Amino acid sequence: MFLAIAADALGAEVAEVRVEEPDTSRVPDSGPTVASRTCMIVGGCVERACRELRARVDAAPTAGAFRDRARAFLAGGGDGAVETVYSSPPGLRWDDERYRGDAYPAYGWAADVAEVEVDLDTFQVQVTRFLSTVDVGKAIQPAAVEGQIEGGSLQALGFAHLEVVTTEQGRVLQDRMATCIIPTTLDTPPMEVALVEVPYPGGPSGAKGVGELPMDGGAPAVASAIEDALGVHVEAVPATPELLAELWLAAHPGEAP
Amino acid sequence: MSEPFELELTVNGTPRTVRVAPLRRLLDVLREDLALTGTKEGCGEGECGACSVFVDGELVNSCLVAACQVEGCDVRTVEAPDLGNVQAAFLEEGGAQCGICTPGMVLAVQAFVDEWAARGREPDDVELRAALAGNLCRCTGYEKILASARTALRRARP
Repeated sequence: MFLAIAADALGAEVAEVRVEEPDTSRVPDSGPTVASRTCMIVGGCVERACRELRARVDAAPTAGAFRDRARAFLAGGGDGAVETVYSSPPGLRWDDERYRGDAYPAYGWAADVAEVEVDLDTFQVQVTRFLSTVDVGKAIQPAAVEGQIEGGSLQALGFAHLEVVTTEQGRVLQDRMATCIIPTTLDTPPMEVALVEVPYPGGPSGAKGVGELPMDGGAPAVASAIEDALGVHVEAVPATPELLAELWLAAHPGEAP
Repeated sequence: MSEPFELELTVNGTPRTVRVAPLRRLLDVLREDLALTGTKEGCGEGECGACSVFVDGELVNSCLVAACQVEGCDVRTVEAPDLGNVQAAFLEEGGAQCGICTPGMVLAVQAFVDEWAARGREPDDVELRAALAGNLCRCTGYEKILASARTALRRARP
């Protein structure tokens, strides 16, 4: 992603861009890794730094590919190092000393649609189709963004009806893959992703974040679909067969499903 | 019984000999003794398939196989030189994300391709999903891995 942002801002080829190993001794503390902000904030810094670098190189009267002009620029004693620091967009107040203010300049938006089948003998749920539409601002690498959305959505589907997590005296009981039941290929519906691109002016090429958003809509969508199928209010997730049987029996005293 | 022994096996076409304890996991023989770190340990208890390798052509979880069970066997890992079709399909379809499940998935897809390439019909969606159901992935949603498998199978057909 950074390679693509840098190459685009420089007018260079992606293959010509190299990312240094991250080294915390050489960079300032950028705060916690939160709010799916890497693309928007770090990507934005990368974009601005590369644009500045490109402007310096472009100022020299040379022709040809960026690679060749950059070499000539450096050989002529040009300064090829650029530092950028993120600053909040206008109108947003954030106090980094006290961690107070409005931390979120942009929000991601999504709509999720789930189709389910519920077995009326066992109350087993199978999600049969899933569609997620996500406004990411701009998809820098559409295939990677789709993969993030599909993967996050599947975690949400697991959360919706499979992944029971309980604790006993502070210890998680489902502490291994044999008991922590995450979806396999057979528990996974065909998934469709529709990207909505409404550019955010503060992000690189209009991009916002995407990492966490797909975790949010899937479980409510599945719970709503189960409600539609069973006619009972699904008041908790995961909607296990035990929970659904309980809810159905409570709503239909004395009846068989 | 637990004394080390000279294990002789073929790994990715090359005969190898290593001195190991009989119950050492094949996973550790590959990663630690033979420095073939392409094979990943996911759960270490046979649930996730990340450590999948071929033993005499059969896909197994190498965390559940003891060294003494592979004496004289032909083992193929993700480092095997003949997986190019499947690996190219993963690259093109975006089938890899964080990478932990990928080596096992590549081998599971290879097993799927081997099984279906010669058959006269297309596998349906459930047959494809069943072929990969022993390999867990937490970050792709499987969609692009399944697409990789379909692409690899299409190209493996005569």
